[in-house]
Amino acid sequence: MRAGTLLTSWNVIFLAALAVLFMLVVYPMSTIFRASLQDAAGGGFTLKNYVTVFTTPFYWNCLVNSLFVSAAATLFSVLIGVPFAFFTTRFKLPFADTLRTLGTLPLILPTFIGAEAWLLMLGRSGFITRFIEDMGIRLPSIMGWHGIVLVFTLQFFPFVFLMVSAAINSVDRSLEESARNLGATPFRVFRTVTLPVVTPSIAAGGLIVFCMSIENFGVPTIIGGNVKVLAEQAYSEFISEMGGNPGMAGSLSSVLVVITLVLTVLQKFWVERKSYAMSALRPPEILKLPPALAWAAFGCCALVVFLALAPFMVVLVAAVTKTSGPVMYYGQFSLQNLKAALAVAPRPIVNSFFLSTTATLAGMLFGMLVSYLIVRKRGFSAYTLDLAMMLPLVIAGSVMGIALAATYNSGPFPLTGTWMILVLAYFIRKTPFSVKTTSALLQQIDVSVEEASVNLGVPPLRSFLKVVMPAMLPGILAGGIIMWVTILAELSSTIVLYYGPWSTMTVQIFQYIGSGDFGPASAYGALLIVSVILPLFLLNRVFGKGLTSSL
Amino acid sequence: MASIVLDGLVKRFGKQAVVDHISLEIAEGEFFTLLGPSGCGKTTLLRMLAGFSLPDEGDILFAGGSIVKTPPHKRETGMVFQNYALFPHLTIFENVAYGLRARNTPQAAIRERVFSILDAVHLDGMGERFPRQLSGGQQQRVALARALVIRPQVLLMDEPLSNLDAKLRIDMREEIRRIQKEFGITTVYVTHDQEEAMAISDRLAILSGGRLQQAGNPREVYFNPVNRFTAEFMGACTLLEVLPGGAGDGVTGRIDGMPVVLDMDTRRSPPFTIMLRPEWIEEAGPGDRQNRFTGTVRESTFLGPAIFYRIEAMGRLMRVDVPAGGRSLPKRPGERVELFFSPQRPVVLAE
Repeated sequence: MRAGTLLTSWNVIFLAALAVLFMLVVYPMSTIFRASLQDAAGGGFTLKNYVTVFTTPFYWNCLVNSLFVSAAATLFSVLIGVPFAFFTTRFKLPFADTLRTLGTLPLILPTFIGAEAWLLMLGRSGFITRFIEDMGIRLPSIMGWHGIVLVFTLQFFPFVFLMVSAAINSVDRSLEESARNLGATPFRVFRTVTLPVVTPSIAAGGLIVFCMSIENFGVPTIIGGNVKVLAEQAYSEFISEMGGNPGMAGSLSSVLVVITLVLTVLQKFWVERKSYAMSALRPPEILKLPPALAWAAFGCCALVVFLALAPFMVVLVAAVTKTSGPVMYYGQFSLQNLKAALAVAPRPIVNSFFLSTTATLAGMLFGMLVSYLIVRKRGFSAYTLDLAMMLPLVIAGSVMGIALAATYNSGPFPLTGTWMILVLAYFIRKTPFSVKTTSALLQQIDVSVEEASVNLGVPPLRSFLKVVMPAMLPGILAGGIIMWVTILAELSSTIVLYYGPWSTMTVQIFQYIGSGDFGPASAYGALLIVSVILPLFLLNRVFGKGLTSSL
Repeated sequence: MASIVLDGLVKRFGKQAVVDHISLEIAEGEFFTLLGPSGCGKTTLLRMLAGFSLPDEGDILFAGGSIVKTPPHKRETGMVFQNYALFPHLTIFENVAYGLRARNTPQAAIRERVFSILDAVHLDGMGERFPRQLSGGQQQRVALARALVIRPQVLLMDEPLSNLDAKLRIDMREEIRRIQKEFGITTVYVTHDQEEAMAISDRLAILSGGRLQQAGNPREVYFNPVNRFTAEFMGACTLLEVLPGGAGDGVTGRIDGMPVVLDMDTRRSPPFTIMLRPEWIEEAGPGDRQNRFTGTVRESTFLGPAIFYRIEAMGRLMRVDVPAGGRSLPKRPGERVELFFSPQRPVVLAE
């Protein structure tokens, strides 16, 4: 029996996985790339759409805005995330566990709801704005690049925080001890050992923040005011009431994808090579601070957590506040908006749950099989699959939506305008999460466990089901829950792909915000927040802490 | 139970042969060890026996029948993995019962056989625990029980003791030896530890660079290594070049100018290399005339039962071991000593 025949069923799965990735990523992306090189009138080859991006002030500004807000958000996320990680991981702070848990939460809360909340507080008719205006001071509007950067920073700093604190914990205590033993002062140890060792993780976390920011569609659209960014403009070009401009949508999308792709490649080949993670036997010592300092550090971290989470409390309050159009009557309790959402128009809620569940189930199955291939079969083909599987992560949601919509508009699979294309978009965008959590767990299961089963007389495929599956289950479940909640909160591809009856909670929120109806928007927002937090809460209770870190 | 024949086995990874034309015969019930440094091909060889690696050339016979085409799950080999590979989600009982369930053994028979094998490895009463609740030595015994309970034709063990501490390693190797004899099962054992190999094996094979260097029982390979690799791998030794230059009195040749007498049946004449184990070099008495030389003690290490010396003689450092309570007095570094070795002792290496 040759290795070839031993793996036939896996070869089939491998080819199927590649086919899926080709049909849902490579082919659609090539469609919009082709469109970007096509003359709108004649259909011939042209670079005009790219020339336009770089020469027209409007488009050029979009590019500059995108890069600027992402860079600013990255900078601030690092400035907040790194101290946050050190304070909560290395020092004995009051309520450090709570700070860490709450500090992770912003990751899974929908960013555009954060933007909405800041409008509720500091927008033109926000309650804080009005309160201060009543005192005779005029506040500058939150709308603009500073609003975007504020929301991005508060929602994405946990990426830096989580990566850095994982790095801190993966360095064995002996490293610092030997530096001390060689005569270095504590500060010198920090400067020459601790900090350099976690630097790659700071860079990795920063790059994630940058990519998440530049691909974000909802926040700039809601709170950006006149500041337009690429992700938003690509969508506008595509959707435009004037019939749309596939060429410009294509070129803007391609520029966006190239930026994230370059950064991700940098991350893969530079940061990963510089990773110093050791299999820590003894995590570093947790240092005691004088009480005053400890409380001061606690205060700073608590303030960050408060600023990041308070907006969502505002939305929860707004959901049960009496409204009439854009006017909020704070203090006056009312269930009118929640009732409207739940009873009068429950369809978007049902849609959200249905689409999310369907895509998640498909993603879990796919993720399980692909993880197995990547971890166990190794070699060139597995490496290819691993890289291909991470492709969807570099493609902005709105770009992915545009690509799928343009590709499956006609041809043998006219899916655009059906619910299935939403499921496909969710599936391909979020399955990498499932692959990540599952393969991380699978990597810890030594291949000999499987071989032991075969050796004891159980054929390979049944060995996989009996021995590997049960061990992978926590990873598959965790990946599934993360998929499910992030799909529920997914706006950017939905807004491109949904049609009439298949509107989702996120689309409702987005449209109500657009029309200034903050009451209904907050009602759906509150439902979304609860649906996202609850499963993660359960996940933490069942599997213990730390699984949100696989985000 | 089955005898094993390896016939001209070759395994290549890319262009490099990690197992290079190895032929061996292992008798029924024999405890046979594959010994060698890491990368010598011993684990690959073991995995070929289990069926996880397929030979590029050659054949493997169990009890006279080729099993190369048999898939791993039908080979009836019981394998003990280096990291034990216990199923983390199953209890000890279920781990051990796993192979029996795969063979559709009736429930009653499963209980009986699992309990009796857990008894044999001194794990009675541990059945309901999970692997992570057991110590390393206990996990090791579960792995052994799990492999033995299916009554395999051949027991395969891949460095099973390497994750245990030194003391436990010695206890466990005696335990494994006892159980193997009790079951009378043909066993192929892989290790890089030559002391462990000598202690546990009926016979052993020394591998290097994918090639078989020597096979034989522990005494043979220790006292009569065929080449430099085996000589050095099996224990400390001094290698001396013997050059031509004999002149009567049965002198065979000269080492560093000193006439040597070798009382051995060899058709070879110098130049060749001889090997001396540290315990074969002794302090010379007045009557010891042959192979006598002077050295200077450079280092001495007291180990309890024995003392290891490093002695500079004949232009090199050589190790000389003497029993701590023996007639030789303890020497200090810098002291000069008269040494000799018996003409019967040295081994001529084929090179």
